[in-house]
Amino acid sequence: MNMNKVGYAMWIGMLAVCSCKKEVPAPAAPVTSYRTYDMNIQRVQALPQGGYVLQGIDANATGDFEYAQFMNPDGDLMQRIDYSTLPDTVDGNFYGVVYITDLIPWGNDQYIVLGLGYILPNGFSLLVYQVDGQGHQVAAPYARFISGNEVALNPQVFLDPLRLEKAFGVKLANGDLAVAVNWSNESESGGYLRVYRFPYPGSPNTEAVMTTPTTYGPDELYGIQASGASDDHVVLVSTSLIEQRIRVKELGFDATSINVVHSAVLSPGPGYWRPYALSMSNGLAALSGCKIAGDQIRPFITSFSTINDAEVNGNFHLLTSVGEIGSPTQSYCGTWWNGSWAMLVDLYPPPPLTQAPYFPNDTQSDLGLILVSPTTGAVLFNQTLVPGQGMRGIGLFNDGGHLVCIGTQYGYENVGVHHTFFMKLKDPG
Amino acid sequence: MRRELIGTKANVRWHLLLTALSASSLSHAQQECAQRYDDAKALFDAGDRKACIATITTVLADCHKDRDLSCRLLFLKSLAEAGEDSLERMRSDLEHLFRTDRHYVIKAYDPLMKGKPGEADLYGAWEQLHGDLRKDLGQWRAGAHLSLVFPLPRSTTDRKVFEDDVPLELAAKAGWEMAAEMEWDVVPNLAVRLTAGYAMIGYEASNNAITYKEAITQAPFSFAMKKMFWLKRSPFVPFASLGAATGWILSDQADIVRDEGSDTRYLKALSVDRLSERRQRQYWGEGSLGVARKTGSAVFSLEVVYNRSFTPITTDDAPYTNTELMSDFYYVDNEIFLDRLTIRVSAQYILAYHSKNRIHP
Repeated sequence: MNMNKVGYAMWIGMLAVCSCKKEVPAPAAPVTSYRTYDMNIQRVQALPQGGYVLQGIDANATGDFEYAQFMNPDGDLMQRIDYSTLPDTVDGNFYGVVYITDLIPWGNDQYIVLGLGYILPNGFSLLVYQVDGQGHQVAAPYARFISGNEVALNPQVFLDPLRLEKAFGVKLANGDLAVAVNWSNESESGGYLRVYRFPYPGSPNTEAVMTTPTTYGPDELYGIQASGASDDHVVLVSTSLIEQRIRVKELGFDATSINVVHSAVLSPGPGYWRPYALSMSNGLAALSGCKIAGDQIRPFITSFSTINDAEVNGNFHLLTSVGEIGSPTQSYCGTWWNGSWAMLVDLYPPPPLTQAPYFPNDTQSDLGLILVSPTTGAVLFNQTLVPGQGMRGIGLFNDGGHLVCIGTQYGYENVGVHHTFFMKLKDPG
Repeated sequence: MRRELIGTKANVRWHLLLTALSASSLSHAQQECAQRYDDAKALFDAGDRKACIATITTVLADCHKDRDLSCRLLFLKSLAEAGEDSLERMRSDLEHLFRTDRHYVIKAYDPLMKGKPGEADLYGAWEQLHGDLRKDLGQWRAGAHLSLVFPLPRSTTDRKVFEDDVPLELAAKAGWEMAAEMEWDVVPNLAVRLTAGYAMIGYEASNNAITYKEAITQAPFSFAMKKMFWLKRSPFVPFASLGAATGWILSDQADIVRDEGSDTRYLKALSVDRLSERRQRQYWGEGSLGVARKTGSAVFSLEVVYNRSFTPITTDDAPYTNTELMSDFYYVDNEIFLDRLTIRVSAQYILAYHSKNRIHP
């Protein structure tokens, strides 16, 4: 046997294998961490101390918040407040129906839990609970009677699994509590939007109330938060379903009363306007959400440095270039990212599609991230995060310079299973 | 054109002339060696064995190119040395004879040897030599091996997706490998070994809800230094090797099943090609212990090999390259290294022996 031939044969074999066609590496999702949980959440907030609190709803229940689940910045689940343990007798009155609508971090692991309670058949009250991170009472709850008329219960409206009547609150800079609540009475065509200021113990201020009647049923309340413009000012965002407008108000609080400092009405045209995200940065506020008009579902953004009609309407942009033409695109959250406005978008297959944001067969949407100029509306960056899995972004946060996305997944053909996901994103752009 | 043809013809003539000269030179050398053999044979026949040995000793180096004549000279010299009772030299020359022509056979009835002094010593030493050569595995060997491979998956991360899942546990079933191999003794009993093969291995990651299996085919190539040890009497040759290996993942198929009970999701089992999500070039360190045994010109060995992987099979982006696994099956890759424990059976043919004596230096 020729020994050289043996050597050559082995080398040729090695070369043949080495020269095999190389596979092109698969593109990776721009994700650095991904977790899921057996929860169905509808709202998520960042906590001042770091981490998040998730408001959970059960898929087969009424859609009311059932618990607050705390989560650390890495997505590990922490303690949970079970709202069913909160007392249904407040200030000596028994409330046959109580549902929770907001949780406000108060510092030192204490929280204010806001709810609405019904004294059947027709009493309606705002309920304020003060609890620690385990849900234990740290002070007696109190209630404010809102309406003696028969309150119109609006459970499960078609745009939202939650009831239309909500109470949202914010801790003012001086430690007082501001709460906004909306409702309507069955005997009336209009509705009401009321803002309370509850002074903290020892505050020099008095309890104050401002009630604003609305013409066509209750305005839908989206949030109340510190304005950033002044320590004791808040911004209140609501919509009028019938008038198809977004109202933005800046409220000020003095020792005895509540005043409207600035007000604007955004009238971008026909459609239901869902302003889900509001945040301020360097004196500029960005407000984003989505428009629902039949199957024409598109995200929008507006921005303003002071609240007035000209600026709020002048900076309004409907983001028609996001997603395929004719394909519905929704956005439920946004946050600031290096001077631009980051939004999570859900891009759906072309119609027909239900208008309901919690459509049970929502199984195939893409989850995407866009960066938008808050003033020009230009889409600066557009990336699909997870294609085709029916993942809905509910909260987007800038956590120490990195984006964190929390949402609910409907990625399965069988209805009734909704899992929450937590996702750390690679830095976009 | 004509000049080129003339040049070509001139080259051919020169080539023929040189060939003729070298053939003539070789033929002359052969004639000289043959003459010397005849001289030595005459001295041997005349009973002057010392002169015979001296004559052969002076010509042996010059006649090495003629293997047949070298063998005849060595045989005659060995016979003369046997007659002179120089048994150690005889043994050495017999081994030299074997290494000159491994197929040389000394027949008991050889007329040159028959009835000569030292005949029995010579024949006995020849047989003894072949016994001793059983542990000489030669200088150059080539062959193939078949291995039973036990992957030892090792994870450096503990990622899990779904909160209610327990951490994934790694396990593996035996795979196999077949390869061609070649060994070259750099110095006696210290060989360089090259192998090129094809392997099929896999691993499994599972927990209370997930069964994830990955089947991988690889083309591994290894380079190792192999040290062999001669035991005094034993024909078995134990050895140890140390080396490095590289390889390419040729295919990678994963199957995943997620079972969460009847009250949650209904996921069909998924089969997915993950080759593009894998680090296709792999590197290992390799160490082995084994034992070899020669039969005829073949060497059979049994070896236990441990491979320590230096590269994970997963890419840096791997956990999130397959969004279907991630978001449907709640499975993301951990960083997996596939170490291996291998039981290897090999058969090699000895292509060449060392030219210098090893038994009787």
